[in-house]
Amino acid sequence: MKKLVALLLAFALCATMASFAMADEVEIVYTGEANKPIVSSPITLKILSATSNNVYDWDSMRYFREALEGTNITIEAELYHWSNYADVMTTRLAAGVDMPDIVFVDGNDADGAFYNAGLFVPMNEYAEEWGFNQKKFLEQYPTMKGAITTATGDQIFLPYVTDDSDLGRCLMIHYKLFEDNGIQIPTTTDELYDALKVLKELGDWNGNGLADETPFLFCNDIYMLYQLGCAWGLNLETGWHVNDEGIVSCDWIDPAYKDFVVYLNKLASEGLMNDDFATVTSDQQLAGFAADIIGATISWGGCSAWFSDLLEPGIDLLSVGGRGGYMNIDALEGPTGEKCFYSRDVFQRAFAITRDCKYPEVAYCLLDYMLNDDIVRTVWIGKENGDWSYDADGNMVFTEQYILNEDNYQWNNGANAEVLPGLQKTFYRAETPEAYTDLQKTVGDHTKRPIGFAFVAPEYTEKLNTYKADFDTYVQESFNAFVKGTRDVEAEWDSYVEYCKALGADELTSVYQARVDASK
Amino acid sequence: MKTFCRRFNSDIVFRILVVTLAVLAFAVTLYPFIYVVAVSFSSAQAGYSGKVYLWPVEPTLIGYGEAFSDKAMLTYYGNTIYYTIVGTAFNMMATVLLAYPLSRPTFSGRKFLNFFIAFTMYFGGGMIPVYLVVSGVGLFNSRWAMILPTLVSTYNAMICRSAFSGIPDELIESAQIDGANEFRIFRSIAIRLITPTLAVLTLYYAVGHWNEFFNANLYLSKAELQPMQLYLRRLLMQAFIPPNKNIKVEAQEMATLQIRYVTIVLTILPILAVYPFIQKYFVKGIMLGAVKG
Amino acid sequence: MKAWRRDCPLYLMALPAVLFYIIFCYVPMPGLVVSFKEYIPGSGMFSGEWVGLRWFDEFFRSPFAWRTIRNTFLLAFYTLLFSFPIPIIFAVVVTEIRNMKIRRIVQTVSYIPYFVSTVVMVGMLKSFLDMRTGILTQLIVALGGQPHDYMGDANSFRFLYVATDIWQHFGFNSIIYIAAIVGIDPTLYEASKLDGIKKFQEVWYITIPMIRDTIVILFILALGSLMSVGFEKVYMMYSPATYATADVISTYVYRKGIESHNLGYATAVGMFNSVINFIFVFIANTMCRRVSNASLW
Repeated sequence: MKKLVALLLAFALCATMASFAMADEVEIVYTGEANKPIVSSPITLKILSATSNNVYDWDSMRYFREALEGTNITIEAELYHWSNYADVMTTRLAAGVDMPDIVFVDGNDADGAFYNAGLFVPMNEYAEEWGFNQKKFLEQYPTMKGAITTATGDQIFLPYVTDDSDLGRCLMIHYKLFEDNGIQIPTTTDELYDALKVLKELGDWNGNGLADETPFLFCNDIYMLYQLGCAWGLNLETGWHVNDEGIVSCDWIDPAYKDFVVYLNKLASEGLMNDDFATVTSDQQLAGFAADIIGATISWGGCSAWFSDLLEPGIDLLSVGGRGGYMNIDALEGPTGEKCFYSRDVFQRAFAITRDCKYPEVAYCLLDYMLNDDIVRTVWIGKENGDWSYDADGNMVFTEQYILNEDNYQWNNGANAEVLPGLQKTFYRAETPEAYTDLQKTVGDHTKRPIGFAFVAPEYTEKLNTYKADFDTYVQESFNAFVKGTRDVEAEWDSYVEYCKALGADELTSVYQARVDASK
Repeated sequence: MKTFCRRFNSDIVFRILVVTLAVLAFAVTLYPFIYVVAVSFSSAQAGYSGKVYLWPVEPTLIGYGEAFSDKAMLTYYGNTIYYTIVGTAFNMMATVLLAYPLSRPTFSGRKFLNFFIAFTMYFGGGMIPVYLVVSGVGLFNSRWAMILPTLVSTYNAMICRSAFSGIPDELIESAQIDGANEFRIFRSIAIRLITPTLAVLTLYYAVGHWNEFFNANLYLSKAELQPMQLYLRRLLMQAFIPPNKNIKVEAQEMATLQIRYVTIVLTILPILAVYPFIQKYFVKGIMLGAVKG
Repeated sequence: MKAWRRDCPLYLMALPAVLFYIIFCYVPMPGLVVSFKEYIPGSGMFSGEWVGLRWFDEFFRSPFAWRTIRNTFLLAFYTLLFSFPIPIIFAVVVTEIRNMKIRRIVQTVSYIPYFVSTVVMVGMLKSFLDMRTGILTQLIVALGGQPHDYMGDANSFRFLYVATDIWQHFGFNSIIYIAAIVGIDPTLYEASKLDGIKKFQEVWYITIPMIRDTIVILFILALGSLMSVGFEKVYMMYSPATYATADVISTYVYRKGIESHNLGYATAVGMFNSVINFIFVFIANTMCRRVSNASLW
């Protein structure tokens, strides 16, 4: 039996080596960020990746196809919807068979299991020689270095970057309701409380005879509610934040967190805010907009147009300059004078080259090339002089076809496909109401970046695996109970903090500190 | 007189109970379906604002338009039908052939084999070892990946086995005395006596293939091999992401609610159309029962 | 040897299925050893260092382990308790409908919910129960009740879980019983009618005993899932507000695994589940063998 196994192993080894030997020698010419990488003889690269658009046909994605014209590189892509992707990726990598050349690593291989197993090819050499666009990105987003480089110094990823520093999640208010009733647009959390109070007293503002109105309504996308905590200096999305001296502290046991929860509990108990935020789906929230029962909420800035349209079908936000429907407003100032929005981590998606890739240098050049300004912009807002062009005043004018996205025009072409490295960033567009663009310009000044993902030493990963799940379970459960009032945060605070510490709050803080240090 | 009354009462109560339960079951299962169909044909605004109860409000076909906008839709449907028919045929053959020996009291391997198959219901190697095997025997991106790894459902084999066990021993014994061999007994007696159960199992397997999603997701990465469920599932999940990009709202992006309901209608309708043909066999069973007696 | 020769045709018949079991069930089974190992991705199932019972230890050391075990068991238990008998009752009801057309329609409609995907079913449930606009809330208020956040109430989670489970499965699960009842020899009923037997007695003394084997087999099979609860449904239905009753083993392990792809841990917990299930089935099977001739093996 042993002999047989050994024989099989030997055979497999020979087969692998033979396949390496058979790989044609190819030469690659890639001379700068704006130039295409060109391969001496045609090769095919396999990509395993995920997208959220409902288009999985790589061949239809014109933006990418055009970018690759003349490079001699053909891409064979296996594309999955993000919600089905983790199973596929984890299984194939863990099994180590049917591996692609380039893989989108969902979950970033946080504890380095795939990398340590030798599944990913280090990119350092290639980056030095060909990392034209990578270099530019790292200059712009320096913290990302820790996310693409392991604790031992090997670069294993190229990123897809999300830069929502100028308008991510924000507060939005029912403009007409505020306007008609002379309610000031709130600028502080106290003013927000007063405004909600007035809304509550208005009662049946949609006039349907039911008490179905909620001044401040949140759905189960809990990060929206957490965003309000920024006014207390908290970033509950991560759960930890870093101060100006670079010291990390845990938000869940911060005294400011207690104040925040007390504030929310006040809103909930007075009926100013819904206390079933843990279960309200985005559907229910959308139904709420359609039924005109929501006075204010927090959501993606770009969604306010959608919500406005549900509130008043066919509303033309452009003609009212964005002052109508649900209007985005600036961050609120908290009790201690804190005023900020937290953006998402810029490092959103990781792309690695696998050990089965025969032409890792070509794969690297391709990935780097995808971060080229022109491609990044085309994928995000369409092709210049095709989907849009500048008019005499220098404004961008988009074609009807692109704007209306008929027959999924945008997606079919590969718009926002996220299947390869890229950049998601708001580019100002002609059809954006001025109220939004004004806001976008000011928001950037007080947007903070969260503690991003970064590879840390194994002892920290170990801590993360040991403590994180239980800690999260407890604090999230407690958050719900405190806000709903089923547990009294004032009375319980000390024991709550103590239990959090028993569940590893301090150990976890050290992990995030290590991440911050690794990003420097 | 007294007994007559009691009998009369009790049977009346029974009938009332039957009617009530049937009406209740009918209502709770039918209403959501009516609701689903109605929403799938209504405008998103109407669907969201809760105006739809029984009948489409502001009727539109936008949800269906979206679902059928993918030209590969027909391929997906074709694949599903292929996997359902071929898969079920293979399932039934293997299952019946396995269940019959397991039901024979004199079969020497009976005890061992019964345990052998029951054990697999509780212990399996897990997703990755199975993947290694499936891929190792060359089924990755092959139509057989939808058929062979799920060839026998132990659960169904157990049901089939107990149906065979229900055949009176005298019938089989008398056939043996007549000189019929096992194949012959199996083919011309046993199989015929369990038609209703076979109809049920066919339905179970067919529905299983019809709804199969997990293996397809794992083993089939080529669009031309993928079944409809994979497509519907993507459509469904896509509907959960709000668009956060375009300031201008498009009708299509508003269609998300209907799409979810459209997926249900598209899943149910074909099976609904086929069901009566299978159901026929449940009725046929009565006659077989009579023969049996 | 004689038996072997005699049973040769029977072995031949079972061969395709046995091959299937060997290749797709037993060959991967040694993969279970990763429960005791630090698995190295991409290096085959037998790679990695032995870590003994480390993953089991890690699971049981969690302050939430017992809660998730209890929740898993209770959810599965209540599901069995209520979801198991209802299809039988429904099958009796359906077969008592005399009008064939109506019978067919009722039966066909009854299994529609089976095809509603979990995602959509939970979405519908949440919308119907919405405190502000939901149809069910409106109904409750009309009946004199108060709007209540049932989805976010740990006390109502189990009820909602089981009720929706019944709704989704009773029709489809009744098919097997309907087929069994239809297969009962009608002369039995005719004979009893002459004896003046009542309808209730007829069901109790003829119908049920005649489908007893089917019931017993399905019951033992159902017992084997006393420690398993569908991941997707709980995952869609629960929230931190209902963790107290809703957090089950699979959802907990899922949250635990978000930060890492620890195959060893997941396999170990899965194996713990399987062992418990197997013990249940084993006991049930042994008991059933004593009292009836229906058993799994």
